[in-house]
Amino acid sequence: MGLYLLKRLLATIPVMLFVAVFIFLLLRLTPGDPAAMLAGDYATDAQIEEIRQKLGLTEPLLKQFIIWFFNTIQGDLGESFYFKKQVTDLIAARLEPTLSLSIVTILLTVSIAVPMGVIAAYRQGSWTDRLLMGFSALGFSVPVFVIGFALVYVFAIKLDWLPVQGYKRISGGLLPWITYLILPSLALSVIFIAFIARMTRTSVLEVLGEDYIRTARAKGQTESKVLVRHALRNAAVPIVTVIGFAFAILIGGVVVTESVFNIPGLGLLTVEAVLNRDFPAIQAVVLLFSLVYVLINLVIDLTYTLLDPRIRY
Amino acid sequence: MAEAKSEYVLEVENLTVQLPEGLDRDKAIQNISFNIRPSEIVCVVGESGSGKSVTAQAVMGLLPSELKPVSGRASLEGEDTLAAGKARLRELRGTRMAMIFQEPMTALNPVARVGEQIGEMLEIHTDLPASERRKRAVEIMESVHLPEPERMVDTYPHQLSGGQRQRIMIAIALVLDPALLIADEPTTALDVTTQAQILKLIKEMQERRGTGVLFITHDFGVVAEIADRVVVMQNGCVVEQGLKDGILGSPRHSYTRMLMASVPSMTPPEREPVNGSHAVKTDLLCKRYGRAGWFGGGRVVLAARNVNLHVCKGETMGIVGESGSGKSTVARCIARLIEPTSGSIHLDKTEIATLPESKLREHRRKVQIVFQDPYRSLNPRRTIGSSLIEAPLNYGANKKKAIQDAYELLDLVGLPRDSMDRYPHQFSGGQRQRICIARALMVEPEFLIADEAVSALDVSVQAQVLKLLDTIRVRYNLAILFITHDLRVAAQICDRLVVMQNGIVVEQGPTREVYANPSHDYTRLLLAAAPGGNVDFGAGAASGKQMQITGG
Repeated sequence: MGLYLLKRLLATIPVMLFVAVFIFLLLRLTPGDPAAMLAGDYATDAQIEEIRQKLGLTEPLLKQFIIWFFNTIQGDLGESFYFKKQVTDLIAARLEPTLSLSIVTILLTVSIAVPMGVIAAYRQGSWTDRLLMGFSALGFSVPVFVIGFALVYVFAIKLDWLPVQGYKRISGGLLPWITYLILPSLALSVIFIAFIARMTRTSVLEVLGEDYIRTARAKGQTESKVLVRHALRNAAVPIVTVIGFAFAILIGGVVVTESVFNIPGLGLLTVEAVLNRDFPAIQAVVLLFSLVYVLINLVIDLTYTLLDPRIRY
Repeated sequence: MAEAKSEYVLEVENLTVQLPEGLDRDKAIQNISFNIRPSEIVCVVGESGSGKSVTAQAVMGLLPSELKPVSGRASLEGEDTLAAGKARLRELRGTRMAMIFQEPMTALNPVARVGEQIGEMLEIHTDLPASERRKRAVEIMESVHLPEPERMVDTYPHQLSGGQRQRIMIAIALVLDPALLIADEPTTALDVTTQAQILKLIKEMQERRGTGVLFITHDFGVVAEIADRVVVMQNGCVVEQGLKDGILGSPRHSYTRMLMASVPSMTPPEREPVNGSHAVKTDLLCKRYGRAGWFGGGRVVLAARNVNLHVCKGETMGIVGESGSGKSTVARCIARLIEPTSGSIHLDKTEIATLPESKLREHRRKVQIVFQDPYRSLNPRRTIGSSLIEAPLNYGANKKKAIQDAYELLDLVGLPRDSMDRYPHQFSGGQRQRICIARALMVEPEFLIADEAVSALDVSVQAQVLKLLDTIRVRYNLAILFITHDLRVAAQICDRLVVMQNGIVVEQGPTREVYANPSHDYTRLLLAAAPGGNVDFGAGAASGKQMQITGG
């Protein structure tokens, strides 16, 4: 197990290396000059060239890469072209909103989707099942920004129950924090609820046909315990897999939701950085997202061993 | 609660269960009546589709929702379980009636510790605290003779053997001392030696606790071993019931007689020794699974160790042994489905053990396999015709010729020619196995491997398929490697026999000799463990004479 963990952690190194090279080259090969952006519309060529020199963009590519690479592995992600701040500080400031949004969303998703899926599986073919799965198909087909605007229109503008947009830090109190998060989390969770509910239904249905379910009933166990203790526990591996992926996609996919709800998180930072050709910020955010992705995958794999004693590494 | 305690633990009266519409018959079981006294084992025997499992599920209230009991009663100590509400049924299950199932590999929850699963019974039906539940679990595990119950109570099912799991199932069923134990084919999936131990255990537990047992089986050997009384079922009806000696000694109903006559005899018939040239020969064949880990953590299993065997043209050679003995490993090496670790395999004159992947194609044609489960070895979405001609077409045969061959093989295996356009689900298990045999013969193999090919079939069907295999062996002068755990089947079909244990060939020789004078202890153990080994059903029933029962 320890050995496995070590191997997996070592395996993240080449992945991150590849991402680093890829994003570095991609940014330099796509059109758009950060110096020109910074200089503004009325700058002369000489002014732009001066900025370019100051940013170190006149150096050969390889040299630029090596400098950035060695700084990065020492924890120095450089200074943002656009914000004129250390990228590490920038990210640290933006991490809380994004994490809050992702975690609240995933909790909301799991607490709705899993019971939905289990009930649909238990009542397979009934009206309940059709209703739940119909809702899930609907949730799947409506884009996030449509749901977001619809929610804002109804709950924020018409009913005035919740704020339209923005973010309050958790240090300012739990209640304001959560009231600002409810609508964006709900908007973001709909598609994941749809997906995970379906997945849960399928996995539970498959397990309900197993012999040990019959054994549990033969013991005189109640249906609710048969479902949770015997069926759901055995169906958990595929469900946890999609929950993990959902979480990873969420963190990467907050860009749209954060724009709609104007939440100052990593998503918004990404948008701003890309629009301003802010190379150090873009590189750092992309690296961070890939690292999170790799680590979540590792956590999913380790969770399997907790859920199913037959899985050992 | 029933006021007047009946003298019976279970009384089934005129029980009828309706099947959903559109099936080949409209009642799953019809007017079934029988009863079980305390301390009595009643065996319900019949082939698949006879309604024996439906009867058990009806009593337990575990029928699938499509099946409805429409009339009759099933009184458990005087209380009709068919009339009981859902909550009452849950109370009764486990406390007064309990059930064990055929497949100990799947009947236990794989993600819960076995101690928890025993304890769950106590948790549902008693107020015992967790520590007490654990103590009771250890006690009952001890009484079903599980080794080191204190340690085993915390293991998961996959860490136990099939026999141990079945003991856990029995422990779960008996922990609350039910009046009635329903055992649905509890030993069918087990090895003979394990089967013998589990049968002994059920008998011991039942005698000690005075439990009435409803024992469902298709195996007359098991009946002879364990039953007090016997109920014979066919197509949902009871055709005959009575004391064991009466039924086995002088069966009155023709169906009972037919069933018993189909049970292969433990006495191998006289067979001409086959002196063909070697179709297959292995030398010092070894197969090792797994590999050593970095720090010695890896697990290595020697599934086959220095196996020397040969099969002549026109001969059926059997490999017998328990699960894990390596019999299937040897067959898979010969078919080159897996790569042998060392040793050589000669097919005719070609060395195939080391044949590279690119040269295996021609080899694949020469060796064909018929698998155990005819339900899963045919593609459900292809017609029989397309399954049959697939292999010859792969080897470049002319389509017209292939179809012609397919028709002829269907004639040979005794299926109508219009089967070509039908799908596997439209056939019974026996018919499917015939299709599988025809499929194997389509490419004119030199060597046929039958891997437990009749184990999943009912006895009457089994007899027919065995006859078919013998016919094709003679007709094509085919070498057949017949893998089985069933010593009765082996006795009837094999010219020669190899006995394997833990990857090693412990004995080989002509079948008659091995059975008459087993030279190895393990062979003797296997022969002794065969249930009802002292009863010769086939011989006795066929001649219509009084059955000879020797010894116990």
